[in-house]
Amino acid sequence: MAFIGHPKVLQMKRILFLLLVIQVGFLYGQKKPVLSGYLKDATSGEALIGANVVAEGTGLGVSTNAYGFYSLSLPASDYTIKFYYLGYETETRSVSLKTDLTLNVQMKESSVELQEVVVSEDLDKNVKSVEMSTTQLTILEVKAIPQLLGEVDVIRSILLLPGVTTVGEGASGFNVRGGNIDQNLILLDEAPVYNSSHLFGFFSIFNGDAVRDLKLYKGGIPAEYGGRLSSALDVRQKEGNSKAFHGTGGIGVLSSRLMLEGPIVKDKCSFMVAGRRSYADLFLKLASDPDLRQNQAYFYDLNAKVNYQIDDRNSVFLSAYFGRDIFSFSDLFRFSWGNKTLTLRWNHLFSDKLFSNFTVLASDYDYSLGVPTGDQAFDWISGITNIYAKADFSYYLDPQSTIRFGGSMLYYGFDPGKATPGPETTVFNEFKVPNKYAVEPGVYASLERKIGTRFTILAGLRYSHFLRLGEETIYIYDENKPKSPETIIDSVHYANGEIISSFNGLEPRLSANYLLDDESSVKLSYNRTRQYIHLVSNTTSATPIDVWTPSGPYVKPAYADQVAGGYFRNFRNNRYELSAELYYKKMYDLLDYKNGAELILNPTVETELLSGNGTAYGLELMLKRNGKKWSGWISYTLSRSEMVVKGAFPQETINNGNPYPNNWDKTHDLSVTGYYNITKYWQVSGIFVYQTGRPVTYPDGKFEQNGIIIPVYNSRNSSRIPHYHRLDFSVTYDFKKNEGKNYKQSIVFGAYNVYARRNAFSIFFRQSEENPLQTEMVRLSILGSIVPFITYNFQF
Amino acid sequence: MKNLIYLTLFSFILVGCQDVVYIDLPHGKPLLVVDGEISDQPGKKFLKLSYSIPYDKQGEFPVETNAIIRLFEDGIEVVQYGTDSIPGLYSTSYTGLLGKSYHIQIETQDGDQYHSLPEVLNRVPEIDSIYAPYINFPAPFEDGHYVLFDTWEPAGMGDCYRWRQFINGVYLNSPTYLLVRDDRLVDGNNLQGFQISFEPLLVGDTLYLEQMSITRNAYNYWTLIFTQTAQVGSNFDPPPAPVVGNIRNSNNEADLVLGYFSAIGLRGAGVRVN
Repeated sequence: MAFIGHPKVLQMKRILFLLLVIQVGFLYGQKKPVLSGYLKDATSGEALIGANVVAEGTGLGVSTNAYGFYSLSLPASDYTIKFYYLGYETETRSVSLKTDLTLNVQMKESSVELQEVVVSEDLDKNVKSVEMSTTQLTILEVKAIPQLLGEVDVIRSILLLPGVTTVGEGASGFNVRGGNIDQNLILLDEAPVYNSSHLFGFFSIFNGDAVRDLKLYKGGIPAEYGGRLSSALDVRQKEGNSKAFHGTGGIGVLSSRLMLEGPIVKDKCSFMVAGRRSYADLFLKLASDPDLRQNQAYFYDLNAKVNYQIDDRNSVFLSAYFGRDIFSFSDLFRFSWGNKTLTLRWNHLFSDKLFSNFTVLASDYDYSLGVPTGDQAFDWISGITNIYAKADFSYYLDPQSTIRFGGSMLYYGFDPGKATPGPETTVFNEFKVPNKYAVEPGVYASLERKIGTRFTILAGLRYSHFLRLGEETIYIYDENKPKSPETIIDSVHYANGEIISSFNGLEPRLSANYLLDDESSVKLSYNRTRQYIHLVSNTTSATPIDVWTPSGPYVKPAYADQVAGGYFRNFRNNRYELSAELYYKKMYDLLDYKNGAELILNPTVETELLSGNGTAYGLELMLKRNGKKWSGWISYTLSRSEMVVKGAFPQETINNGNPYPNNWDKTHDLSVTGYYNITKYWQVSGIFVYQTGRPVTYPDGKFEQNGIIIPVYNSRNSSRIPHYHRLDFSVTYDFKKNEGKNYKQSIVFGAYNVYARRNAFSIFFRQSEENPLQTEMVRLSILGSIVPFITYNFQF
Repeated sequence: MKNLIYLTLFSFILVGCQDVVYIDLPHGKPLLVVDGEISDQPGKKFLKLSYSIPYDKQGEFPVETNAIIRLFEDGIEVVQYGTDSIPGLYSTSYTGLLGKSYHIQIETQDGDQYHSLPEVLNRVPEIDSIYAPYINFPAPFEDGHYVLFDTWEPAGMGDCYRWRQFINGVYLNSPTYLLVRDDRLVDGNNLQGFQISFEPLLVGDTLYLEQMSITRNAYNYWTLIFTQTAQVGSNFDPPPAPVVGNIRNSNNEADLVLGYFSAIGLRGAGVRVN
């Protein structure tokens, strides 16, 4: 597979791409009338993403984009246009298309119960679309499956899909096709999110009531997404109901939440606000001990969005997220972290064929911890800030061809950490690791083209650039020695805005779909991705204090090549979807760490970093059923993810330079998810998960020094913890008295880990507490027991 | 600081449940372990030679007896260690000097030769005072007598320290008491009220504290041991790693030899809880 990176092959790809663009040029002359418009939900006015628009009898059709817009140019004639969307009633319109025509359509949700996913007549997108290795979950699907403590969690839900794993329960983030958690581009209304977890990784920051839609790209990543190696997770917040005022909310064991939405100007301007707060610490207030009552441990999220449809050609929205985890331990210690995002977006139709989106946004992740009072008081802060501007264009050339192009400019400010002593403190000095700055411009273009009736190709090219900028002082290390603070021989000061390092590169993206027949297809994709920033973390699960660091003089940007091939087939009138995919991914210049690395508040952190290459490959199978009575999916992944770190010195080599599996490498990963409507009022759902135990390092000896028994570890991750399996279930009851009422209520109850298996998170080794000269092996289970929950939900 | 964070993470999150299990572990070959130090204080300095054993085997560590151990000061041999009454233990009364560099050469009974990489004996401040007041902590910490001490940190970055504690003469060898710090955040300051006991002491208990200067290399070594022995049992463990000290096989540098030979500046002070 190494040939993919060969310059000649790349050159050929570029030529192929140019040819496609030239071909488009030839087609340009033919003038056909254009049918375009927006698809919206009839009751809420929310845009419908990825809905199908088909001119019946012609075989021509198009999908709505991320803003609900479609554009279809057809020879002048009379047509019956059908609009299909999962869970919605199909709409039919007869049009007499002579000149350009705007047709905005409002689609009604299927009249069956809200939480039921319905079979639409046309669900064959997974077969016919050129996209592969993607998964779109609607929030209804996420809400239908059992959730830990009843918290509707989109990230926990995508772990049930093939190719997505995690190190273990309670670990933050997720791993896609063998990549590390920092290789996922997580977007909330287009704003990058740098830490997707609450409570150290148990829950995600996305409030299920505020999220409308999410899509995960594991491979064949479109050219508009850049900056991460392994995946893009695109999460969109609700726009707010533009027809009527509504709310949803719930009271659960972990948190309570409320979402309100409604029109500001009917059909023109709408808002959505949502809040969620966990309240474990409120129970502490009931404690008899006054000290305990002072402790705080909670998280909260605030989401807000305003949407304004100026006219048929212009709409704007402003979207914001603010969330934080707060822990405080009397006046001894406090710790908080969180994300903030703010997105301003403007959609503009230059013509019926040229759709544009302009976005400016800001995103920030920061944490603060410290001792608030006393003579050892200090406050330590760190964070990453982004300012981002981009423009995206879609040009609907003809029903066979869509061109997308755009550009972006991303600014980064990294604050690796600053510790400030309190006013009465004499013990500590102020300590700051200097800030780092960078910009990342990028441009892209892609062409999606249908060739004949069976073949579709999506060819794209992205060019990204990364500039590490001053003001910063860069240390120079003796090249003949392993890097350490002792081998600094000089330093160079760069002024504000001066270029310290510059990296750039092309990122070709290619997908192709060949329809075997109406119900099956084969697809192929290749993508190269580049990543210029890295999360510096050497713990089993990343912690909120881990710091992002940019590429620079000593940290190379990472890049990856991935090829994937798949077979897609629907049967029984699209009731069943089957997919089988194979992927192979090479990742270059990934980070690993020296043994005993100090990564925090370290001004010479580059001396602790090592560079290695990763390989990941696997087989992913998925069978999904969409039914009126029952729905669900079976997902199975057979995979391998490993890494090699071989430096110039023994201190810069891991595992003697031999490959070792990554912590998240799970050979077999099976999950079965199903939900069943027993009656109109009762629904049950369940999940079963089975996974190979994750890799772990066992000692092959021990020795004593200064009375401490020290394990001897030789080969990293060469053993595995016991297999993991788990069953969850939940039952939803929709109140009978809901019928005909605006105020609807439901109760959800269930349990996580129903048969209370003590799944190991890790096996670790320690001196026995009773007899420190004896050693013992200990199994750590994070959620080693049944975790029941009950949630009351309402909507009006 | 990092330890403080991990401590906090432990205390706040659901640490889940832990139970002792039995697993078949790989058995590596026995490796020589050197455990010794030279200090700037008069009196006997000990050095122990032993061997590693499989992790799942409980019992004594085998020792190396009748080895010849030579101590070098700035590259010149100054003394040869004598054997002690306890098998595997060697000693010398030679006293180290501030600013000098020390290393040892070992020749085992079988004729294998080992040496340590040189270590400089660095400055160490006095313990100004040590005391055991009664402290009321917020729940869930226990109230009681905790030992604090005052010292000062000489100006100039790069000093590294280690502390050892003895309660009623018994050395606290639990990995949690492996206290190693550098002066990154406290350079040149008076350090007052530095708490060293994590559990309350009883009235009548005595605590003796040793404050040691160590080299940066020894600091890295002990920090790695701390992460491998004390920072275990959560979902935020750093990866297990080989602990390589400053002992080398003189005939084969690539051969793994365990342990460390340190040069330390040493100061001590004791307190009795009243």
